[in-house]
Order: sequence, then structure tokens, then C-alpha cells
Amino acid sequence: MGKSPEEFGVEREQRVRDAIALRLPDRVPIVPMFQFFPAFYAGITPYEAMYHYEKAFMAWKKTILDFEPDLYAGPAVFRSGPVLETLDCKQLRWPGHGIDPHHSYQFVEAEYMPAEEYDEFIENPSDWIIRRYMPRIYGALKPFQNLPGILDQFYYYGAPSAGLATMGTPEVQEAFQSLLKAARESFKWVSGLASFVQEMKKLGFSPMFFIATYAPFDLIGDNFRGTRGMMLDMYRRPDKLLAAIEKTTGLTIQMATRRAVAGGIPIIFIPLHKGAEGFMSLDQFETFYWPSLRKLILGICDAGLIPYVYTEGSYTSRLEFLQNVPRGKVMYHFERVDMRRAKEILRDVACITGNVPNSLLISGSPDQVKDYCKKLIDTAGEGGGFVMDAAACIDEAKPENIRAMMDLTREYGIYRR
Amino acid sequence: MADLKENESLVLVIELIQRGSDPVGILEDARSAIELVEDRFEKCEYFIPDLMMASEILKGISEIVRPFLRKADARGKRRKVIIGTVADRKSVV
Repeated sequence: MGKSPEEFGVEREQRVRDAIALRLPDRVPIVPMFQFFPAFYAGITPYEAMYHYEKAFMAWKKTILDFEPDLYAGPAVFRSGPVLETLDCKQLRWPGHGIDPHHSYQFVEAEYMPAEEYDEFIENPSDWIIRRYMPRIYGALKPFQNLPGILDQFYYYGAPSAGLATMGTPEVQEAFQSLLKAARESFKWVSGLASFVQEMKKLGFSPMFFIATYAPFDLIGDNFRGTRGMMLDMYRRPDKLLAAIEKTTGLTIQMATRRAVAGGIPIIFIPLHKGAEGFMSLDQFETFYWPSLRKLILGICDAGLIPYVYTEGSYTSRLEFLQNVPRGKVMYHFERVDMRRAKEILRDVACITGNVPNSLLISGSPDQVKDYCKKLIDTAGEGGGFVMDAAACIDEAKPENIRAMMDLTREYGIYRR
Repeated sequence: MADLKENESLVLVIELIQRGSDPVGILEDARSAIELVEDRFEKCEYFIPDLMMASEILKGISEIVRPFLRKADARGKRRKVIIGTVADRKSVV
């Protein structure tokens, strides 16, 4: 009797777990980090993918069944257009809202936290986020800037204080209504995602991760201070920056571990942005970027979860730092790196993935893709500890090139029968 | 300035101005420092944050020096330089 789809699903998951744990799997696993590729492949626009959930699910189902990745990223990467619109999100431009319907969303970085607010953030991050940050990034929540601090609002010896009345003003009421509307829409989106996951599980396919967190430096740099702010802070206020990073480290660990469900997917996604080569010196990486990131990695490992550290940009000079993590517990994704050197340094420490150039997947030929993947398997895949993937999230790509990457890995990446 | 010591650079410029140094000469020195920074960037000793810091220091020096510049000190032909980024990817082909 042949295997059931669920049995194939268990096999696929085990293959990836083995690669991460540095046990030799049957073959090199393939987990392409699709982003908007499933939309283009299935013939829908990114706009439709963000606004019509059933189309988003259809596109992912078609992509997964046609290409059969060992794990998949999933429709959550599309985000929900209606939720963003209800909140009047300022931090993104997306198809139908500042971007034409045929392109994916873009992050709008800005200095949402002036340097003078570091102390406020460090002292009480939640308060700063609700009353300063949310009003700046979500237009619908601007009235929250009028709220006093939480203790001033709610409580004085058993009874709500006069501050509670601030929540009764028409503007704040409207802000809460928007939040409720967004939450209801989000519930619809997330329920759809949950059904999708269940359906795909029965067909033998599991998601790569549900939970993502940030490198502590990036949480502040990407979202609050912006690139320019962060770069200058390293010179002008290094102690303040380090204090904020220390505070943020605990938060990023909580983000990763608090929502993890027993028996669920143990992989935690961590995209890395501001520590790449060119964006800071090696000294600055060692002082500002790595120590807190390492604490996050260890915190995730201690909770029995697997950090999936998704480096972006070039990281060859930083490889020696990445070595300093528990063996067989971490997966590192690379964009532009000397993969031979990465294997040399990380062979006995961590699983590596990525590096197939997106430009090749977009404009190369299937033979060129196969050639590249073959060389990658020979260097990075030797002895296990490797998962095939592209250098960066996949939006545009020729389907035949994705097929070439999958086929080559399945045929050539065999370790044992 | 090329070592990116912001406070020391600005304090030095203020002292020089108070002592009556030629403001144009100060700006010329600042420009040479920028060239040194660019050189270090090309050699991969400096990175983007360093370029950014250098330009901040130059801005600071220019702000201190500007009130002391006379119109006559402006040398050479004045040209307009426009710096920008691409707003719409589609229009660049």
C-alpha cells in the first residue's frame, strides 16, 4: 500500500528537522520562501491576493500542490489589505493603496521615534507603543495620543480614575471602533488561514513557521528610529541605544516564545536587516547588533524552539560570529555569502539555506538554475545540514526555473535511499 | 572630522571662527576631510553609517560658518545640484 498524504507530510517535516539537527536526511529538503510568487503563478494580482482571501488560499494551494515543497511559508505573507486599510496604516504602501495592483507591498521607513523618546520607551515600552507609536503608524488610532498613562486611566484604589473618561471622547471612541473593526476582519483572515493550514495538512504539507520575531537592533531600527536615526545613534548616543537594545531583547524573546503552542511548529522566523555588510562595520556588528541577537537565539533554543535566522544582504565577514550558537538547533539563511566558507565555518554548528540568486530564477534558464543548485548541493549540502532555497523572498520568477530548482534537488540531492 | 568625532570637530570650528580664521578655508578643510572619508569608504574601512555621520558633521560646520561667509567669497560658477531618489520604478527604463 502506498503512503497516505499525511504520511508524506510527516516525512517532509522530518526531513527538514533532520537537516536542522545535523542528522543526515534522505535527501536535501527544499523550502522555497515564496512571497508573491504563488499569486503570479496562479494568475491573480497582488491586490487580489491581499483583498480576496479565497483567491489567496487558492493560489497557495495550487503552488504547493504543483511544486511540493517540504514546508511552505503560506498565505500569511500576503497580509490583509482590509485590515491595513481600516487602521490607515502609514508604515506600508500596498497594492490598491499607494502601489499599483500588480506589485507587492513596500515598507515605509521613517523616524517614528524621535531620539528624545528613548527614555520613555526604555522605561515603559508598552505605554510608549500604545500612546506614541500606534498613533503615528496607524492613522485610525491617532486619538490614542490623547490618552493618559494606563494607571492614570484605569485605577485608583479599586475604582477607575477620572482618566477613564478620556476613553469616552468621540475621537477615542471612533479609534476603538476602528480597532474593533480591524480585529474582526483580522479574525476572519486568521480563521481562513487556520482552515487553509488544516486542509493542506491533510494533503501532506505543513507550514514552515507561524511566529516571527525581530533582531532587537532591527525592532528599534526598522520600526522606530529608521535607518538614518539608528546609524547616527551608534555615534551620538551609543549608551542610550544599548540600553534600548537590552530592553528590547527580552521583548523579542517573549514575542518568539509566548505564542508558541505545544506540539505546534517549532520554527521561529527572524529576518535580519540592519546588520548586513555595508550597513555597519564589523566592530559595530560586534557591539550593537550581534550580542542581543545571540541572546534572542539562545532564548529561543532554551524554549525548545528553532530560530530560523534569515540574513539579508552580504554576511561573509560575519560568519565567525554566527558560529557561536548551540549545535544542531539553528538554521541560517543566506542571501549573498561565500557558501563554501559558510559551510566550512558552520558545518558542525548549524543548518544553512538560501543563496540561489533571485535574478537567476527571474531571468536565467532552467539549465542555469540546475547548474547553480548542483554546485550548491556539492558545497553547502555535503554531509547534510543544508536546505535548498532562493537568496531572497520569491516574488517574480519563471515557474520553469522554480521547477528546475525543485527537480534538481530531488534528483541530485539524495543522501541515502 | 575624518575620524568622525562630531563634538570635537564642531568645537574646533567654533574656536577657529572666534579666533578669526578664514571661513572659506575651514570649509575647504572640511571638504578635504570628506574626501578622506570617501577614500576610506572605497577601501571598505568605512561604511554607510560613517558617510552619514561625516555628512552630519559637514552640515554642522556649514551652519556655524555660514553667517561669516561674505558674498564675495563665493568662488567659481554657481551650479544647481539636485539630489533625489527614484519615486516610481516604472519611469526608469
